[in-house]
Amino acid sequence: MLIYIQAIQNESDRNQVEEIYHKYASTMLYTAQSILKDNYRAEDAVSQAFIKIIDNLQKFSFENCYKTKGLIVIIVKNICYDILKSEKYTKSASDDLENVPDVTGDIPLEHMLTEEDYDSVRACLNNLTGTFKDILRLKYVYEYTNADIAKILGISESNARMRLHRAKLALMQELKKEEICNG
Amino acid sequence: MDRVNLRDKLFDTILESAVKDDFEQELEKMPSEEDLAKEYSLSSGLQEKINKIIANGRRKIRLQKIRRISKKAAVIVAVIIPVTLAGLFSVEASRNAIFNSILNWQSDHATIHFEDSTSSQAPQSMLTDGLYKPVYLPDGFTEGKPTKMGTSAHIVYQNKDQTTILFDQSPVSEEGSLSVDTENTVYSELTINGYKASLFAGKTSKDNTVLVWRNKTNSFTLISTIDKDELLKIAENIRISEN
Repeated sequence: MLIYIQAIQNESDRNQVEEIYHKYASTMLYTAQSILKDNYRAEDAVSQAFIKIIDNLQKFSFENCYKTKGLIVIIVKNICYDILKSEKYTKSASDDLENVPDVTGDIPLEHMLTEEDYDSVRACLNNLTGTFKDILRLKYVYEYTNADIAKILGISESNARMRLHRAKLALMQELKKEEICNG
Repeated sequence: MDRVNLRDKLFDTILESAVKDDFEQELEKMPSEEDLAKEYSLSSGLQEKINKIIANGRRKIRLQKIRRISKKAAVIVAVIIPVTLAGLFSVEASRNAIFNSILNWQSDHATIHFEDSTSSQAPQSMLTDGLYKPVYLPDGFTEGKPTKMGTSAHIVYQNKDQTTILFDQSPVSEEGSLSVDTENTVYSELTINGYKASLFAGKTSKDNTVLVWRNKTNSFTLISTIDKDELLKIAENIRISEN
């Protein structure tokens, strides 16, 4: 039973959300306003983000401020993309998912690896949509499983897997474009 | 490792490094928290809403943690009990042990320990017999997707104001623990459908009220900031559901 009590009495656990609130609330609002360009909807996104943060609190690594801030920003951004998508205000980043041709086979990695270098990959990452960049970050920076990513983004696990696959494919297309432009 | 796999791995390594650097650079470009705080301040309405979300979230976080630890503990109990207590099960007194709960008062919280209630019959499993659900809910509340953890289950009801009602249920045979913030609550004992219940009523509309009770097969917990009479009404109206 001691194990229960120890878990329950951990005060730092109680205060983590308050810490996020005090430290990052303005960052969250700034991020939301940058995407939504509207204060009312931005505030709605921030409140939704807090609910999501609480639901995913165990996935935060609070010893690393950089990662904490990054994950908060990703959560806010994806809520904003969902708001844009649901309201059909504009062509959202999520809509771009549908514009990437579905892939049934393997991503043609061999060609890219022989032609492109690290700087090209960095440059091409900048051309990806926010949703694609975010899923790559959740996978490679945070090393989350597809199930974890699905929970954070509020999508199904198979959707997370497909989005990751398409993000890589979109990157490949960008690399191909760059290759053509550079001769 | 074949050539294609090697290239895949190599590409993944390059991608990982590029994604990390790109993300780090983007975060560095963002204005500092201090600068943003000057320009982007939350409205009082949003602050109030978030405070409410955080207050409700404390309970949720705690339950998440207890549930996670309970899952691990259940595995240990499942292994140890059959080995060490096999002899005891032949003793009549132990076979007839009943549901028991111990209320442990601390300075700012109480811990309720649900102890062994071994009976000669295995408890009914909620996973096969369906979940208990309230047939009464206050206006505006809708049911979230039930979360099942072994034989325990957790359902969140929420209204448009983000007010939540958390409903937990576990077989009485399952050992467990629940911590209740006693700060800003008034404790009383009452009965629900003939069974003893513990009520920790929140002193204000911002404080959570916690109601813990049981029936023949299950123990239940309801937690919310809604009026305690509404919470009692919900408790009195739970029924087993087929889905």
